[in-house]
Amino acid sequence: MIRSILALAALLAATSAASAATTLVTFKGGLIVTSTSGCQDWNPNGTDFQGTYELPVGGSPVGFYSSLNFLNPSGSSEGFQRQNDVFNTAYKAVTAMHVYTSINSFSAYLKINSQSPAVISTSTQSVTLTGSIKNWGQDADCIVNFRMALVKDLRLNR
Amino acid sequence: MKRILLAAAGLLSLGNAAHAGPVVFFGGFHIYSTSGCVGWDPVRAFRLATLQVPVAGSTNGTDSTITTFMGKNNNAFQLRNGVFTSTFKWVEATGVDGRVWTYSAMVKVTAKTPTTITTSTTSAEIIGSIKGGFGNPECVANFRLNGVRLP
Repeated sequence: MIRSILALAALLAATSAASAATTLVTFKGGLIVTSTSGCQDWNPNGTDFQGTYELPVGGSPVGFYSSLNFLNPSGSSEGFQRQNDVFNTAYKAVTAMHVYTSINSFSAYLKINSQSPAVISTSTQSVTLTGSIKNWGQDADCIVNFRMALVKDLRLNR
Repeated sequence: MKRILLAAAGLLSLGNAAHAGPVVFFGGFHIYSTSGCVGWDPVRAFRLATLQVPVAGSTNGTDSTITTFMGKNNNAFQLRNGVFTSTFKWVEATGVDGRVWTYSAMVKVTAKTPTTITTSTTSAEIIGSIKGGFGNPECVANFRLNGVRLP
């Protein structure tokens, strides 16, 4: 009987540790394109979007993704996602997705230039950050610099 | 020479005035806790939101306003000729859904970052409470709003 209780306790402890390892947290709010350079076709300088930022926290990002999205009130959206990783201050290759009257997938690069708070945990309630995207709109020379101010979506993350 | 200096000063003045403009923040708003809500409880609700308060050197004017919106639903809270403080103040509230309605609610702001908003502030976050908002007279909704400065 005691052995069974100990085994059950060990199993519960292991399950608890595993479930606490990595959690996806989602933040939503405002996003402003603060400056651009080299944009030939579509220059979004000064445009405001609804922004979302979803990332794995608390453990290994392997098996998860980081995603940063620009949602335009007109109905178009620009999504940037990287599998098994989190963003930092160095440009990282991302899968970019443009959705409007058609869907277009291509490669781009994204980096976070500053972030407050510097470390995001499951208890972080809001985040403000700046970042850059290279190859915006599949325009190789186009760099878009942005600022986001977001709060946690509490219905997705309690 | 004096005319040239005056003209230069005039141009600088015009430039500054054009730069100041309105100071409005746009971002996310969530309700992290509630009390006294009967029927629909907005706890954990998310909305997009704007914040506009009096800012020295801007064209904001003297009112303080919070607007929240999502899809076809809008709620706005406006304090005429005043600033939000840590004590509840009566505000004009407006809801726009399938219809439009106006009512009175109360708003207080218990934390603000930065403490002083200026014409060069790039983002702002406030924590506060709305009493009697969202069509729920006895409901106190405790919220956080974090926004970036609109260009």
